[in-house]
Amino acid sequence: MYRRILFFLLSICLLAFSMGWGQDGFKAVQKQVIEYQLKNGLKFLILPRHDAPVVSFNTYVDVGSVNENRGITGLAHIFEHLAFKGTSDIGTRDFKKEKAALDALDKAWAAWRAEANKGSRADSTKVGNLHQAFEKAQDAASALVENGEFDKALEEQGGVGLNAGTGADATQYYLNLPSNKIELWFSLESSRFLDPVIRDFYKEKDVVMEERRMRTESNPIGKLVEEFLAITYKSHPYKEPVIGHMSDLEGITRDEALAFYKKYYVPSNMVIAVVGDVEEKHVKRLADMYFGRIPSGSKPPGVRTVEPEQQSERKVVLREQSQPILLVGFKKGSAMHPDDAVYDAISDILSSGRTSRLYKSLVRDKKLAIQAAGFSGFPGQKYPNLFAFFAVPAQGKTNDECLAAIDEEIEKLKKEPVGDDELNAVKTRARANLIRSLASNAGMANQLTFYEVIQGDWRNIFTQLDRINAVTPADIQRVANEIFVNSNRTIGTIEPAK
Amino acid sequence: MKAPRLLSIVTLVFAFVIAGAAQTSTRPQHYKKLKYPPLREVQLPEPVRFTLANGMVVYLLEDHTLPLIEGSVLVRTGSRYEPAEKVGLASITGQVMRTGGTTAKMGDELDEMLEKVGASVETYIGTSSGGARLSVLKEDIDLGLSVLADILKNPAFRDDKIDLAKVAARSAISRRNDQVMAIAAREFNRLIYGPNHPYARMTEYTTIENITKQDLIDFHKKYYAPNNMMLALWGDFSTADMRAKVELAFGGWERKEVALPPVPQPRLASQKTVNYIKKDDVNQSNIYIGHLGGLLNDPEGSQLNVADEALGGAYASRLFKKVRTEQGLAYSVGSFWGESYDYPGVFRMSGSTKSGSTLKMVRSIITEFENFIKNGITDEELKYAKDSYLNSFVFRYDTKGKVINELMTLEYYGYPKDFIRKQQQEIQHATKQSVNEAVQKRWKPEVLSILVVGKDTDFDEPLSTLGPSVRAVDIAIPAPPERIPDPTPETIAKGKEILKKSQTAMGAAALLGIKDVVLAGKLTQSTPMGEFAMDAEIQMVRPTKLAMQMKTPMGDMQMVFDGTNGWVKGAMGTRDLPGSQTENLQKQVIGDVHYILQNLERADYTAQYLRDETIDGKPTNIVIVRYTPMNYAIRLFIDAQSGLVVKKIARGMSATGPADIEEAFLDYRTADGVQFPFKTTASADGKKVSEVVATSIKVNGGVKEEIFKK
Repeated sequence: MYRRILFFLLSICLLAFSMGWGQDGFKAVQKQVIEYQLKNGLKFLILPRHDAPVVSFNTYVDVGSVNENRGITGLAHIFEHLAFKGTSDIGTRDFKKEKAALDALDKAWAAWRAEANKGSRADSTKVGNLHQAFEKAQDAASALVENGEFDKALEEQGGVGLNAGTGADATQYYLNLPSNKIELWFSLESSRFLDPVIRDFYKEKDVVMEERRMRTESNPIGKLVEEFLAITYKSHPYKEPVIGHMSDLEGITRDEALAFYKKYYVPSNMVIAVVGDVEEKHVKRLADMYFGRIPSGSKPPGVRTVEPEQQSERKVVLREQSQPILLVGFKKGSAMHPDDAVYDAISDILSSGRTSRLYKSLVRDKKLAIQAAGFSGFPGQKYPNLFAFFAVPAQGKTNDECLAAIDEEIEKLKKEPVGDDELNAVKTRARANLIRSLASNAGMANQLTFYEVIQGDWRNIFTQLDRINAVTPADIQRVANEIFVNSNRTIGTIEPAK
Repeated sequence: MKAPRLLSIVTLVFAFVIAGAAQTSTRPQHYKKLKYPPLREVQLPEPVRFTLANGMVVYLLEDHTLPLIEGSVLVRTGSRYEPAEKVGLASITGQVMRTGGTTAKMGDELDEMLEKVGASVETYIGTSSGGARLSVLKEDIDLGLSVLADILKNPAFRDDKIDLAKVAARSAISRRNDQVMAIAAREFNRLIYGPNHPYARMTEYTTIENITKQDLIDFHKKYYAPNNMMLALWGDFSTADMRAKVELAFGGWERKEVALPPVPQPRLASQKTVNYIKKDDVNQSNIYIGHLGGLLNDPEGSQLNVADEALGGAYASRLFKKVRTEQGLAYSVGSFWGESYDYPGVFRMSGSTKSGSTLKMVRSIITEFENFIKNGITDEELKYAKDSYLNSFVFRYDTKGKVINELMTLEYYGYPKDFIRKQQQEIQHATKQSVNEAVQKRWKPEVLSILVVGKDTDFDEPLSTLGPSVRAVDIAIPAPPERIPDPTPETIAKGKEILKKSQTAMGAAALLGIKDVVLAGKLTQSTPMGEFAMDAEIQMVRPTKLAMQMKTPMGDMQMVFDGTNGWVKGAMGTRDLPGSQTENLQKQVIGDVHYILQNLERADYTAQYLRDETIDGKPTNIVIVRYTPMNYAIRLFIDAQSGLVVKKIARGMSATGPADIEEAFLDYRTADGVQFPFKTTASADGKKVSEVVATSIKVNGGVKEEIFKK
């Protein structure tokens, strides 16, 4: 699981009239991208580049924790784990027997939980016996699993960076392979989404619970983020933790996981990028052959709930065995909002490098913090989200002192127009960053799918150029005055426990 | 200019690929039935390497795919060469070299110049190397290169940026116990290397406090010379042009001799230990198990990499499959055969599990490890580990940056250019026997260090079931030294006044007339083996002589300082004391309380009132006395009523290194008109080290002068 706390500074593009390698260079790259939609609706974005005999794949499924509802929080992420368990002919020793064992296991689990869930009225002997029966059924099913086959199949052929991540908005699957092995990826990736078998389910839930303990329960900053989001949103699912609540992790059933997969893992809800040493025709042929097998399905609906306008400032304070941490969020529009480029420009002015305003004020001059930044797009980008600030106070300094200094910088943005030099530097940096981002196959694959799904067009990687170019000092002042309002603010802090 | 020699990697990389089948399937295939075409042949470029007249090694490699130029520098230096009492010096030097600007430009100006064009030039010093990184759009290369050369050659180390780096360093110390995973990783390193070893020691408030601007200047001067560094540049340039630019930027820099201090070799532990760190705000334990690792070029290195891949390095490894997938005990679990280029790394097996399954997880990891050693790698594991290494080899060279940096790094550590290819061949030829032999030789279950960080009251079993003794590791952060305000005319005057009062109380004219003092009594030393008491005689002759005679179990011993030299004389003969210990004796003379009070008017002693403190219910005034020629500061605690000096604290050397030495003066009595403490106890950083109880003290009774002759 990952969280897209990273800045999407890369999304800000450049001056139209920039010198040297500018428009022409980007246009050349843009022309090389091939868009290919299968009959079942699955879209491939292919960028052939033959510098080295390697390829990066990025499968972007337009499903994240926002698509969960009460009782099944954490399921998008659990399914991401389950997607590495194989199919009816990968990861099994005898699927016919295994299928029966899995059904029996589900029944044993349901019987055990039904009794245990009676709480104080449960018959403890019965619970014990049912639990034993469950463990026995689990052992029987496990004996039929070919543990780790999916991972091994990719690793032994030279696959690196095999991983996946689930966020609030999306679930992504990554891999890099030597370019002579691309068919291996086509075979395995299409199989796991065509014919997934949910095995090792209850153990994998234990693994995810350990992940929750590691990231959230035994980690002060993880706890802060969870508590902060819980009070920031009152109805939009951005309020829920991606990792899920412990009780939901315990209670989620295999049927629920399967239903979730059926609803969201349909071709119309997936975009795949292939970047590297590949031939267009070859990729198209393999895409048709392997992914064409997946039956089409209607694009699942998005989130209905709209977070109502915030009425007053909210605050949560955690007392932890930790030095102080400050988190501040202001609600703002999504990545589709017309002001998206303005948010990014503000983020750059406040946070990019040693010349940024927050660094100069909080870190360099006032020595209040060792790190301070403000960034756009937390905890997701697809729906209206936060412009968030964080500060790590220096030894002996407090969250309050940092908050006051951040407020000063915000006031400046609201009252004084940003100078031309400062704004031009933002645009120049955006150009340089975009050029740098083109260097990595995996990075490009990631950008292609992200822009295609979140902004509706991968070309926005390049065309957002016009939007950033159009940002004026007045835009920045206007947006700052719109969103940086205290009644629209949520504060979360860690204060050292006495 | 020599034309780049092109080298084919295809034969090396893909010997394992099933050749022939260039066609692909016509219908969907199960992955096991797939046949792959051979990887297309790629030309691996070889960078141009040359040496400037001043000895600087330069690597250049053209890459015209994007309009960018990147660079990296390696300098032969590292934190392992910094003094123990100044841990953090190398890192701060590495940062402030850039942030503190150069003699010509302020650091903030450099920030503006570079960030305006989206460029970056940054410097650092790590454990075993220092260096720099550069990244610019190609049109900004002149700016980038000139900044790079300037900060490497002429850093100004301005005070404001030293202060800023120190704020960050102190903040990092204060935050180092906030994240349980960070605690476990750090403390395991300290267990394996030893807590004070250069590869494991930590910055502390005192080590940061000890670092001065002059230290940064000296550290830079010592290691930064063209003949002690290498530069690599790759990107959108012509080699001939770039060579001229590099000559221009660095050619005029003069070479100089650089000597690297020796670093002690870490040793493999001699026994198994169980170590515990209490963290009661977590519900998951972090577990580290392992021992000292090896060097990258150890004869068994390649074989151990294969073994590690099978034990816990890969997703389909034993630890991942058994501990995570089969038992559901952990999200994070794995192993890492630790290697470094020129010092042993750390071999670890690690993971985290809920408090209630801590011991189960520890046992599970150890069982997998022991079974691996006992039964060896399987055919299937061997094939899998070799295939994944060999088939992913292409990713080592898939960018120009990787190619050029690897070559430079190999040269930096004195490795042959073809080292990686030899390692690849070794792995290609690895057999069950070769892997198992290496494992037998290098993996040692009998000397495992086990570290658990967590909440022991929630564990499934007590940790003591793992071994005879469980060592508790204390991670409390030593308090920062008090920040002393700058002296003001008021605090200087008040300091002097308090000392004057003390001078009168401690003996007035009799004190001022001291020429020599002889103390006879009992000296008790506290050591890890217990307390040792012995008869002792201490003689002081003004101004600067000091002699101690002790009757030790090994015979009589004398420790003498004659004002210039220090030595010990005993049964084994006479031995000169090293400089640091002689300095310590000199500080005892200069810092002697009576001596200070005798010399209040001297210009080389300054005094500053600090504040009041209550000791044993009595108010005391704290005065800082400085002996300016040695920049030696002594804190005196003076009873506000009686004027007697009841305590003294100063920096000094203890048996384990630099420490705050505290002396408590008790049982004051009059001897020849002067007040003396008849009992003095000394402690170093709060731990008692010695006690002196006087039976007699004589002033101006004459001394045996022959003791001061060597």
